[in-house]
Amino acid sequence: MTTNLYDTTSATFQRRYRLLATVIFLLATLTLVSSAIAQNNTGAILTAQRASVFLTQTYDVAGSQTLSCVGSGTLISATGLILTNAHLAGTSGPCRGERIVVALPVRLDEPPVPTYVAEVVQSDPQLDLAILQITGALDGSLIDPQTLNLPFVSIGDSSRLLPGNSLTFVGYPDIGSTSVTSIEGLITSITTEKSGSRLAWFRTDAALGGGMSGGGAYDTNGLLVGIPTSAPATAGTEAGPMCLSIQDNTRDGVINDRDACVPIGGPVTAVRPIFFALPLIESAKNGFILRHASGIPSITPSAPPTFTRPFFSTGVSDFGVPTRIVSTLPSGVSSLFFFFDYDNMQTGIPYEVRVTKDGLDMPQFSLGPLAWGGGRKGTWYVGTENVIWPDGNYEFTLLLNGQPVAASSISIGGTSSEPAFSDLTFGIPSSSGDFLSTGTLLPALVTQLDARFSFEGMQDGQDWTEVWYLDGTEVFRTTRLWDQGESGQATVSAINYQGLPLGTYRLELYIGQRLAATGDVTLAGNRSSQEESLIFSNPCMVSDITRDGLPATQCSSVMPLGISSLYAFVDWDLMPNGIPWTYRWFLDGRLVASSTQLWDAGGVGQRFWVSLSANKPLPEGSYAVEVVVGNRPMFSLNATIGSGTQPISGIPEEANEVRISGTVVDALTGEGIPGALVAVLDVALESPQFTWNESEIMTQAITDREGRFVLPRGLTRGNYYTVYVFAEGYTTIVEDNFTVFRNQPSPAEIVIEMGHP
Amino acid sequence: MSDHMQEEELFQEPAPSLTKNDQFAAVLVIALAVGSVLLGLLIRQRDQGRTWLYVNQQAGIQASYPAGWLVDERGSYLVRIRDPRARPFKTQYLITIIPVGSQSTIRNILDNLTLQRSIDLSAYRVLSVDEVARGGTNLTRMSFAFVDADPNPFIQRLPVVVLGTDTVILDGNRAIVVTYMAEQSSFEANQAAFDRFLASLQY
Repeated sequence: MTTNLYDTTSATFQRRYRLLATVIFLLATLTLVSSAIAQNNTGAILTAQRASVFLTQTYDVAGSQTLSCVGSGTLISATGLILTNAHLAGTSGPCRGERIVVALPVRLDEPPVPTYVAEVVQSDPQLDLAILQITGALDGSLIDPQTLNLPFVSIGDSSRLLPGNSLTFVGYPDIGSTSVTSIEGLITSITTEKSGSRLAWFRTDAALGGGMSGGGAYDTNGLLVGIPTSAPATAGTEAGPMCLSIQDNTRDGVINDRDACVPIGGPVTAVRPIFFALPLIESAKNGFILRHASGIPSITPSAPPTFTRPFFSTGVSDFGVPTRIVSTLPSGVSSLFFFFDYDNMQTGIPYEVRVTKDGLDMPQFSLGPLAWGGGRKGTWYVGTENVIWPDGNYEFTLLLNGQPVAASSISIGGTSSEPAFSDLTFGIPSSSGDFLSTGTLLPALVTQLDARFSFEGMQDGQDWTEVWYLDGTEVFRTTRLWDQGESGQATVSAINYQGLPLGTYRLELYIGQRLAATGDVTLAGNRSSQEESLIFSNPCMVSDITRDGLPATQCSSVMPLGISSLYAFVDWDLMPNGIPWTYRWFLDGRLVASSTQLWDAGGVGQRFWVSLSANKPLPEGSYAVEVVVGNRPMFSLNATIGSGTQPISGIPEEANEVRISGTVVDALTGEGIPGALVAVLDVALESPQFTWNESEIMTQAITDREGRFVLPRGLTRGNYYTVYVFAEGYTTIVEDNFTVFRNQPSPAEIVIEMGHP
Repeated sequence: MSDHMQEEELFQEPAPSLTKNDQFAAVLVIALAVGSVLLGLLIRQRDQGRTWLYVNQQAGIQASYPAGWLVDERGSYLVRIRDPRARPFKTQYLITIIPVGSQSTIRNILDNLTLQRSIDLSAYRVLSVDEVARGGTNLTRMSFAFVDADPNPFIQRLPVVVLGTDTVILDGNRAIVVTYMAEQSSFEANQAAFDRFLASLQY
């Protein structure tokens, strides 16, 4: 009995001991892991800080360099590619400049040092994103990008981010007088905007200075996931001028309001997800150039911008159509979109949607100021989903260059709801009344175009109006009394037995005097067998064109190695001018380049082309081009260069290397040793085989005045290297087993201690 | 005070007298220490004076250079030999082979060097051109200076003033230019070693 008791106690003790040991082990593991992660993250943010650059746009006035704009950028390759905002790098518009000066954070605790000049290699004003390439030194001498060995960041995945996730923002908050800055923040919401559909912008609560625009937003792994974006107004705003005069441009001996003013803007709250920048980055890394056959040049607007038809909707369809137009909303609404029409807008001009509730600013629902990228004319929308909008009277004010130009208000609260039309859908009807095809692009020359919508809260006898427009001109209007009951589905039609002409149609439905539903649909192309638009035909891929813009080679889907261009030719029919169209190039299934244009080649024609080219041979691989009109793929073409099996050069190599930098210090004093030589021998060459010939040295660097060095070439993961460190007055260090582990974070910092002989 | 001293003296033990063995041991230790230092200095001097032989059979050139220096044959020169330990600028010798036409003069060769270096080097200046004796013949030597700066913007290496000389040896239809470059403060100190290198040059 005693024995049993003892045994039981012992067993309990052992279990407890094991449990305790397990808990201690788990806690220790967690602590170590979290410590390692924290250290790794700190290193990643340090890398981000080193890769953060300060950009200055300058132009020449009577021989004097004048600043026009400042902002941040991020190095995304060792060869000097910089990701930033397009508006910071434009040659025209509010941020016009002739020279882009790149300042580097030579010391992280000091202001950046102007070092290089850069040029734009890829730009997308619609997304306000651009890629720059460092091309020269400040003295005008050219630099071979391959000789640069600059720190750069790795690209992350922005599609996984959600409200509540942490971000670290890195950039320069002001006009470059402070050192590179890191600011923590949270994603508070996601803003939908026509520029980028549902994931157009992350919103953040971080207090970012205007100079952070164009910089980097990093996830918890230190990967670049976004670009803080703001385009400050250059004119005066309601709160006064948002710019600083820092130069005596007038040369009158004083700096005052007659001198040029550098816009700095207010807090940046919008972050463009990195997803949108990936095609630009791919294009820049491969040197891709996108071109297409030119049509009639578009006319630059001279009239001032106009804004009309502001209204609200609780949602937007995938085709950009408001799903339910409202003028009041009950409590608890979690989705609201502000729509407006615009004309004569200019790319790059700062625009802002400012939201107030009961007279108080609501920055979480406001957007901008941002550089306009929506083209000259169209319908725009901005909205926030999945966030509860508190009860109150909301005023949405549209500002252009800091000045209010349009406003609309909506009341949220209570339980009452108004009669509504919703989910407007266009389609070509069959004889049975079903839609043969739907969307915002439908075949032209059909005799009937239907618009189907849901209704609720209606009362018979209520007057309602149906209005049709064709290319902006009203072509039909009728007002009737409602007779279809309280709720259900209804259809209105545009009918022309001669065939509806091609063009863009707009339908507006009013309940009383209130706009209740609206949508645009384009009729273009012939009817395909699936009753969809058939605009393009006879697609053909070639590798060269004649001076007259005709195919210079036979159509083929297999191209030889060494070609530097791909041309996709196509004939078109019934394509009205002014319609947005997009062409996208894919390499090995990955989107590498994209461009959206307004069609300007006329209604009918042959041999229109789009091309992808480079100033060097195109990489081996499988290429595809796709043309999209009205969210619908029109055609795609494939071609393979070479065997199509080689990966794109550059990226995998960088991923497999670890960049090494560090400090050589005196073992006794801990002070840096200037002028020391750090040399890494070729892989598999150990010190006994070293013949002191520099051809056996893979990479080497000399330390600076603080003992710091940066090895120009990365070391391949999983390899052993022999490292020599030489310095006069110190014992030479020879390390034959310098290991670069496969999971070694890059870049890596090392400290080398040297002793006296 | 006096009493106190007397007490201390009372407690002191008499100093032991050194035996002859002790005295011999002490002298031996001192001699060994001095000998070791001298041996170390000797070895160091021998090591510092130790040379390795550079041979380029294709160019028909050989020369003895300080042991432990790095050899590089990948540049526009025939060979560059440099001291990896030197700070802040790596002291170096270069041998360059330049074809010479029948109409060419040594001055043409030096002018071409100057034109190229004015592009490649910062603040390049020719200081003097004079004659030096080598093995009973007079050679032309051009002295120059330039500023060496690290192009890496993240490296705060101070620009270094480098002094150098080009010694031109005409050898049939080629000129052998032997260049010596060192940081200005160590230029004189390293001149003798370079002269030994130049003297060892065979072509």
